[in-house]
Amino acid sequence: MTKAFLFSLLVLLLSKWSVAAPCCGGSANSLSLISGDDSAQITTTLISSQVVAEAPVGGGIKYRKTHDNETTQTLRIDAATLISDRWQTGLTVPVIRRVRTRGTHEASASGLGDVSLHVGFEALPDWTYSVWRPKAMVFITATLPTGGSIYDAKELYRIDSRGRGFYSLSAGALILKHWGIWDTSLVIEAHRPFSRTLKNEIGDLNLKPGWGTSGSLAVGVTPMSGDFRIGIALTPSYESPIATEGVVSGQGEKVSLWTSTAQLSYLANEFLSMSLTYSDQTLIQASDNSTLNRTFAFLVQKRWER
Amino acid sequence: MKSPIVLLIGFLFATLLISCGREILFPRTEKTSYHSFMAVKTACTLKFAQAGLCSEINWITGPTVDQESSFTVTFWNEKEASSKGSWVEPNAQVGAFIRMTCCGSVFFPKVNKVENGKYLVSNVKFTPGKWEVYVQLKKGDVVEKQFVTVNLDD
Repeated sequence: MTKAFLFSLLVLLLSKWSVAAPCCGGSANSLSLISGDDSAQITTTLISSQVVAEAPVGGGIKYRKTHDNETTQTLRIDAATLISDRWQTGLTVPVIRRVRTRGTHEASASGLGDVSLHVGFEALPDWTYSVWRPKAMVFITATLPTGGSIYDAKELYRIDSRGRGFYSLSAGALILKHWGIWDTSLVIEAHRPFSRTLKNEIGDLNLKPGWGTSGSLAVGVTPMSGDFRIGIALTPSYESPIATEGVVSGQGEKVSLWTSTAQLSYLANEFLSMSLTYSDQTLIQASDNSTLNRTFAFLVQKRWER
Repeated sequence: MKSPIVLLIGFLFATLLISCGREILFPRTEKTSYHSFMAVKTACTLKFAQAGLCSEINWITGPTVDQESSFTVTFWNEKEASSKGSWVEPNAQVGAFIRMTCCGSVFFPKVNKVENGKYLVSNVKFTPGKWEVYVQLKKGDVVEKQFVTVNLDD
């Protein structure tokens, strides 16, 4: 039981870990599934992130100059509840503050990020233990462009963009398995943002985003089956180029991002756990056309028994 | 025997003198302004063939990422005038927008008429990277647009 709780923290973090610059990087998936034997859970996460580099178009890495400091603080609430034995639903609400300082110039903005809702189904329950058969859940997530985006931003450095700017639907699966003190998980997801039109007096600009996908592979260990768990994860994501039509026709560039994560979790009691996480998008230098972040996160999760 | 040592000490001292002090770094915005200046100062940089007009942009502020940039756009008849004047009011709607080369992101600044043939484009907000600055003439379904490039990479 203990392992399941700690494990659920990993699942939450892995699936939500795309906290790259709201303007560009990151994936659209959003997920806070109940993966243990709980009826409901609420997770509060504090995230502090700094842009340390850019991955230019074509790859490579270009570190930010010391006078250019861009940080993001996020308070995120994830709530999920069972609606039947195998079905669940949930909501994610992020509040984001972004600050960018370049020399003597500074811009900052805060507000709501992209809100998302999900419905999950326990497709492969683990009612009986099996050495090989995993537990699997499938989900559908709807993301609302409540955070604005670079297309809507008005402030310097477009610092007031806190989301992707598109309505988006996502579908995916979460597969979990543990053996003794070891556990592993895999999240795969694909999403489709919907087109939108920006109206302007010189003409309309149609933005046509393409498909995106992301995944996450994680491994963890709970030493001596105690209250602590240590985990690592790798989370790649991909966004197709955004095409424009109307005022100007063209095609953007694809975005790919590789996030490495290390996590320490602690089970305070059966229904309360917490976790500290460090993630770095510069360790695997295969990202493309995105800002690269280093991020610390602290989360507390409260659960209610089924 | 002493002279080589004196020369060496003198050389080291001179080197020390010229290498001390803070490196003079030109602000990035100045470099990019220069880049843009060079880009637009050739004759008829922005040629609107259907309208029979030439155009030029002159930066008032920027181009820079660290504050709002602004520029003027002037139009003249290629055969009858030059960028010095006299300017001609286009028989079309004047518009402007900027497009980030890498990502296709497009943004619309404010465009206000200053006088006949001269427009002020303000509220231009760049972020670091390569940009295209477009000027557009639109009359009905006929749209002509031209651009200059601006490099604001760090």
